[in-house]
Amino acid sequence: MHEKTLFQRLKSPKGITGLAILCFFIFIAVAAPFITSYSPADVSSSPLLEPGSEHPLGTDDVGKDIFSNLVYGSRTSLMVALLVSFGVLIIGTLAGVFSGYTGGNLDRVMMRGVDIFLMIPDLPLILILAAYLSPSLWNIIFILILMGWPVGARITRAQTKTLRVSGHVDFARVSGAGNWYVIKKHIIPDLYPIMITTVVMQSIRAILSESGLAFLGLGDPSYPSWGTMIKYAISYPLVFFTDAWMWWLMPAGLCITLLVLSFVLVGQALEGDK
Amino acid sequence: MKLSERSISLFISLLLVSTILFVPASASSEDSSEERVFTASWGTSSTADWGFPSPLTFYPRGPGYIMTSYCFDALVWPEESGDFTGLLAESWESSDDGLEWTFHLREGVTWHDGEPFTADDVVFTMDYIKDKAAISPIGSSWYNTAVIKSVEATDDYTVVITLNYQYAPFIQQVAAVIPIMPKHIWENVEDPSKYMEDEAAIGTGPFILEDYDTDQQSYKYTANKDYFLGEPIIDTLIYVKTSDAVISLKTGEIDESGLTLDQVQALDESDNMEVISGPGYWVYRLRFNIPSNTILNDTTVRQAIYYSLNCSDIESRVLHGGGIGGNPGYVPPYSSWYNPDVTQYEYDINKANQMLDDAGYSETNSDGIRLDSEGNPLEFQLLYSSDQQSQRIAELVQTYLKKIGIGITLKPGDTKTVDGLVTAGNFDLAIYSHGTSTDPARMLNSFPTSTGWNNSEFMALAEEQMSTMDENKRKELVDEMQVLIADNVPTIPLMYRNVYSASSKDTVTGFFYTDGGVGGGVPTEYNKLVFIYGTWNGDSDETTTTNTENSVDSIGILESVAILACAFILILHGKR
Repeated sequence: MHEKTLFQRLKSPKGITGLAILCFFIFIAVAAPFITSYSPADVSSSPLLEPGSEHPLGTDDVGKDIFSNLVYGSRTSLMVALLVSFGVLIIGTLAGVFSGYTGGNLDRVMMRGVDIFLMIPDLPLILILAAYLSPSLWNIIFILILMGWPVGARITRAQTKTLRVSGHVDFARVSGAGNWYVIKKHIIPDLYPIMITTVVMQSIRAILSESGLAFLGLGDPSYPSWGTMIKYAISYPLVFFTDAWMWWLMPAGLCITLLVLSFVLVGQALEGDK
Repeated sequence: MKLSERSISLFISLLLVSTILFVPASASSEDSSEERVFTASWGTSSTADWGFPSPLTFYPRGPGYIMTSYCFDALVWPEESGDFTGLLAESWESSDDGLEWTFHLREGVTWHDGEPFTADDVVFTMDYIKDKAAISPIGSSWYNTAVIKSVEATDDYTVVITLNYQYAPFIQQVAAVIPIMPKHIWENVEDPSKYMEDEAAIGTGPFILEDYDTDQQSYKYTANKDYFLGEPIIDTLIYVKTSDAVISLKTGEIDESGLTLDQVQALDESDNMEVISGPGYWVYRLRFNIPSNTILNDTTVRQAIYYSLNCSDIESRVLHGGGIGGNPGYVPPYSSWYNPDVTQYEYDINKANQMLDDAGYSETNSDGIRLDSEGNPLEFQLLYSSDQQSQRIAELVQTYLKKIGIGITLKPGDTKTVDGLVTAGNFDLAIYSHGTSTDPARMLNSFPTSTGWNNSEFMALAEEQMSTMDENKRKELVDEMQVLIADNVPTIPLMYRNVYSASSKDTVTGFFYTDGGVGGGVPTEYNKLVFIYGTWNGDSDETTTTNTENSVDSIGILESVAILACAFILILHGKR
């Protein structure tokens, strides 16, 4: 029932466009080694080449192929988006459903805990933690999940509370259904729309945060990242005085924008926007 | 209809007449001061605040000293060639054993506040700074007072400085560095490290501090018209912070700035800039934790790492030609102390691999990383500060070392974190960059602390060269030190960065990089002698303003005529 309506919503022009862009990036990420022959860390070419047959987008200031960095960068972004959104989804949903369904003092305690997390400003904490912990991609993912789950938990809890006292759930309970059965059969399915929105929103947040941290130099230097590319391109003094920005800076920015846009479109389509 | 048209045209004409009357009046009320203003910047850096420019409060790095040197003079000062000219001292001589230096001071010099300068001030300064190690410029060894035994004024204009031991670079490192402070101001100061009143910047220098702003990170000096070497060629000297030096130069916001080669390339003919370059005496080196890391303590491993790094390739990728590859003997090739006859480590992967195999690291794991005798992978953490160059070097070093089966994890941090971790000995490898200084006394003698490498033979040579007064003999000793460094590889100098400066041809030209640096080895274009002996090419600001005023006027007049004509037509039209 629920899945069907979601798919129907996705069939709107927005949803299809978003999905197409998303699929395009997923395809690039998966097929990266077949698309480009250079490894993103390869520095054997001469630096600062203009686009040519060897390097479709030229090379950067140390001689890395910009195109392969762009292609492999999609892997990093998508991986962070995937792991963070599902991490937040699982922890947030579990905590939210548990807290909302149990109610009482436990609910109160948990929600105060969530409040504390929600009060902490996201970005400054991420900056401090990223600087304090060594800059690995896993730490960034960990921090983003840590800062993201309370949002998911809040929304899920509110919905669970409403569902818990709704007619069909009461009826199921009166008919002798156990707690686990009710959650599985009647509450989780009704949470699907919220869960999908969570995934979309968290993916956007993850992509932007990862690029942002990389841009500030707090990313993981061993993974190619669009944020890092923008950082290096901007700090190269000649980038705006020559045409270099067109093949060095713009593609990376464009990729971030397009990927985020695809998630936004999918999200809007799922919410029923035409 | 007719009436309103007429009134409109009348109104317009009135407006016009008033414009003609008032515009020139308001324009001519602009100030007509005849100022030659020169605005400089320390390039694109995170800070432009180098502390209050007094000898005891400046931020203890090169720029801080330079900002102070505009207000304060030392006894002697380096010229472009690196030879010394007298500032407060007119002439000087040393006794045969090199222990006694007599300085004949310039007569008739006055402090900015009009008080006369005498030998008493020199004696006072030397005694005053002697045991104030808590004050930052002194604590970070800007002034080498340890060699001075006593300072005496034999008459008002003669000072005799007696040394504890023979010290070859006395003139370069001591006499040309210590700024002489006015006794009548400082003798009553209670806490010199916090003394930042207006009087604190009173010296004998070519410029008088007018304004220093910590928040704006700006300095403003006015010329000292009575300067004893002659009046400065500019009236006002301003230092400002800029977020992008190239754009600031192009827009004319600043007249001069230190740049990197990449930035220099962004300037073109139309910008009308005079670009000079000079030796930077700035090294990027790979630092090992020799005392605590048993693997890196092995000289063979360090040599193998050296063979695996292509320093000139790293230079061409990171600085794009704005520097030169490292020299195993550490002394940069443009230095007069450079010894070319040392062990060279040409890029040779096979040799590096062979050496590591022989050293007992022949086993590798599935990732191709070598294993030590206990089966642990040969993996090191590489610490670096997260500026563009260091980060790029770190990435390249990682790539190179991977080829010989050494794994590197990158660990960036800001400069202070990196400094802290290195000082605490909490690292394996680090990319370190700093000025090398120009004299072997500071360049090489600090090796035990700056690399963690202790070698008694090296230290014996270091002591000896310091007290060797004969230049040739000293050079031989320094050559030997370089041979030892190259053989033992206590650190790997990856490359030396050049310095570049661009100044607008419409303002001050004649900048140069002093051979041997200023103030004991700061490689900078801001040798204050430029502002005395350089050339001012610009029209003074007054003429430029009049020009623009004229053009404003002519525009106004043209416009008025046009409007007048329109109004006239309108009136005629209305009458018809």
